[in-house]
Formats: sequence, structure tokens, C-alpha cells
Amino acid sequence: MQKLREIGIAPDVLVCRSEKPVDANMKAKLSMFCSVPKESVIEAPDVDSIYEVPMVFHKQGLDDQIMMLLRLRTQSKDLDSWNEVVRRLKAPKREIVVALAGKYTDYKDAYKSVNEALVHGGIANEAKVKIRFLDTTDPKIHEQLDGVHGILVPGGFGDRGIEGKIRVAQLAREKKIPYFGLCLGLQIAVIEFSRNVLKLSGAHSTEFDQKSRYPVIDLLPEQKSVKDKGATMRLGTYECTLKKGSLSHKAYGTLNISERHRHRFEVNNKFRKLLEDAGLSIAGLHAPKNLVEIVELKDHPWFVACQFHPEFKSRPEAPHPLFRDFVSACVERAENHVRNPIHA
Amino acid sequence: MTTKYIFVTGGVVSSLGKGITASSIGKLLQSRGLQVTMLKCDPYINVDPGTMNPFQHGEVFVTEDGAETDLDLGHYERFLNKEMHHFNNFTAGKVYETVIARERRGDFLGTTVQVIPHITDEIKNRFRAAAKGADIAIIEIGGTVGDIESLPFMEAARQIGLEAGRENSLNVHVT
Repeated sequence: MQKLREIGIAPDVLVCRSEKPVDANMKAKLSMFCSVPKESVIEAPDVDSIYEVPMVFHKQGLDDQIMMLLRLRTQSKDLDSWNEVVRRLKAPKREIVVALAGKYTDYKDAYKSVNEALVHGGIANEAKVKIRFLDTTDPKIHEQLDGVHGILVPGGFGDRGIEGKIRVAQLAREKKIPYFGLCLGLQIAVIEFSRNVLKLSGAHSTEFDQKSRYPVIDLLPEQKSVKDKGATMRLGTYECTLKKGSLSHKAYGTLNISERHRHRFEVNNKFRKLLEDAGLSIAGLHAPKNLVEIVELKDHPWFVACQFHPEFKSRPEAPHPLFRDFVSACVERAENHVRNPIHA
Repeated sequence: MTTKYIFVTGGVVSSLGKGITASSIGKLLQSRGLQVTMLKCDPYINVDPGTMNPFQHGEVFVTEDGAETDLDLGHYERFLNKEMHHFNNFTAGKVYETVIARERRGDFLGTTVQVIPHITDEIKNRFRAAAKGADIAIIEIGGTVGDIESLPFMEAARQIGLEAGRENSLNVHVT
């Protein structure tokens, strides 16, 4: 506060983060010492969901206060769809457990959008989604999957835990557990399928094994001359055409979609026919450059992996269709009491 | 309507609810029928967070137009149900990169290039560019008040506040 004044900025509104409630007395004190009117001292207590915060502020009159200070006047006040989000969040009808096979298990902000998109998928299905972070370096990783209703492998870089992720994808395929792969999660699914279904022993991505005999994942052709690391990946929105009748088509309800990307590696087209003939469906394609965008498994309740990052486009008021359907498949598994212990 | 600015600063540990506070204010004002845009400035020298370790910095959020941005932009998009763009997030590194490139081109006609006014002017230009067309621009300043790195951003915020006038600028401090 003192430092803010030194710089020449006087706060108009004070938002106080606090584990304990800030009572009127405390507000008065803060108001006095910080030279902010009482009405502009706003409490921000810990809440179950971040989506409750707008209402917490609204109840304390923060929006009225800001409107007044900025001499703004509008009539409308429409928070209906937002309130419906919060209502659904607070009264889930069911609960599911999703295993997240990532690298940064101790720091959840590393997968912020994925976590939130799962919450949104839960909102769409009136389900509470519990996330179990897996330790992918654990050789007995299958033991961590007991009681999970779905497996999600998010994007990532670096080779730590890669074999654990491949093992998890194999279990998802064989034990018919709903699987959702994002970016690296697609590459993992393709490597696993190549090794264990196509029997291409040593199949890998050239990101992790440059000498692999079966480089089923390889650098994008346009990436081969790229030296700088900053802002040089295949980034942002690209279009994708879906295969008719695929799980993805069913989810989106349209054949033409666009999604956001962030990658350098990609399914190696040399292996595409082999993969398809063995039952890995190429459900999404970026036609202009002939790049695989989505793979799916038939004879599986729900196995979808995409090269793009659908999590970036999911919103609480508009849950992403793939997250919605993934959570729905998990709910189905939970409700059918499919709870076979997963053996190695 | 002239764009009104709301600056959001933080006094304690970095990012403790500042992004959520800014997004929530944005949501409330949007529900009043106002056009709201959001901006996050990060005082570090990296040109963007694309090369930063997610373990320290959190997720890299990718926008529709392919910018690698701070994870707070994800909150902005989710709360406001609205797309953000590359100009909704910039770092001190980006600002310096622009100013130095201009200096090399000779744009400053031999003057000494300084934090004030050259860096602060560039920050103000970026504030205005991001705010263009909106009724309200909510500008979240990363880091905490008192950090050496955030000083030019605070100074730019103070100047914009002065230029815009009392009724057109507001400071929200999260502590």
C-alpha cells in the first residue's frame, strides 16, 4: 500500500484475499488505514470454485461501486447463464475420477486449462470431476489406476515419464477405459498402438529417440529448418475435417472444425496406412497439409486423441464438446459399476 | 464512449487471485451490457512465456491467433466467454524488444533512449491499442507492487490515469 502511494497511485478499491471472513470492524480498519471508502473494501474469501467469485463480489456491491466511480449507467444486469453454471457446479448429481498422466504433478497450474475444461465437462454432465494426478515414473503405475473412470494424457515436452504414459494408454485401450489424449497424448496413443498392436518393436517419436527404427511420430516437415525456440511451433488455429460417423463428429455435430495448436511433432504419414488398416481410425485431418489431427479407436467405449488443444476453447458457459463427451463416457463407466481392478 | 481503464495491482505473493479478481470484475461489468476487454502485462524480460517452464510459471495459454500467453488469458476467455488476442498480453521483454528495434532504425533521432519516457510510452501505446473499441479495459499488472521490474508499468498506469481523468480510470488493489 505504502509502495503504491510512493509510485503515485491511490487505490480506489481494495480486494482482500483472506482465509477467514473479513468482518465489518476489519473493513472499517482497512478503510481508514488505506484511505479507501468502506464500501470499496471488498472481501475475497476462499471459495470452492473460482466461478463463484463474481457473485461474491456482486453481493458486496462491487459492480455498483465501480459503476458509480466510473460514472457509468446501464440498466441491464444479466448473470443468468453464469448463475446456472455455479448452480450446476454446486449440486453435482454424480462424481467421477479422471486420471491425469502428466509431468508436473505437484504444480496444478501447469495444466490449468485442462483442469478447467474437465470442470466444464462436469458442468455439462452435472458431475463432479475429481482429478487424480498420476506419477508416470512409477513402474507400478497400473496400481494408481484403481477406481478411475477415465484417463487423460495432456500435452507435454521432455522424455521423463514417457514410458509410464505409454503403459497407461495401453491399459486404457485394453481395459476399455475412456481415453482422451491431447497433443502429446495423441502421440503416446499412436506409439502405444504401433508397438503393441502393429508389433513394431521400438516404435517411438523422434523427439525421444532419434534412432528409432519405426519413427511413427516425427518432426513436422516445416519444422526441420527451425533453429530458434521462441514462438516457432505450429501455433494457433488451424482447420480440421472430421470423418463422418466418428466419435468426434458425434461430439461436434459438424464435419468442419477449427482448433488451437502448439506442437512441432506430428504423426508420420509413412505409417498412416499401417495404423488405419490395424484399426486406428484417422478421425480428423488438416487437409491442406495432410496432417493427422485426431485418432480414435473402434471397439472401445470412448478413445479419442487429438493433436490440438481443445482445452483452450472450453468455457464454463459453453463446455467443449470433446470434454463433454469424455466426461459423459466416464459417467457411463461409473454408473455401469465397471470397477475391474486393473492388473498389469 | 471513451474507454475507461481499470488497473489491477497486487500487494502480496504473485498471482494470488489477481487474475480471478480481474476476470470476475470483467464478468460483472460485461453483465451490465458493457464491452469489456482485458490485458495482462508481465514485468519479466522473456519476450513471451512460450519458452518458460510450466513448473514455475504455469501453463502457456495459446490464443486463436497463435500467441503463447500467460495463463491468466485463459481465465479471461473463460469468464468473459470471449476470445483474447496477442495484444491482450505483453511482457517487459516485448516492450524492450520494440523500443530497441526502433532505436536501431533511428526512430529516436539521436536522443538518449530511457525508461521514462520511451519504455513507459511504449507501454502506454500498448495499453491504448488493446483497449481500442472497448467501453472498459481491465489491465492486470503482473508481479507485486514494489518489484523493480514492475515499476515502468506502474508509472505508465499512473500516467494513463492522469490523462484519462478521475472518472475514466480506477485502481483496484488486491492484497
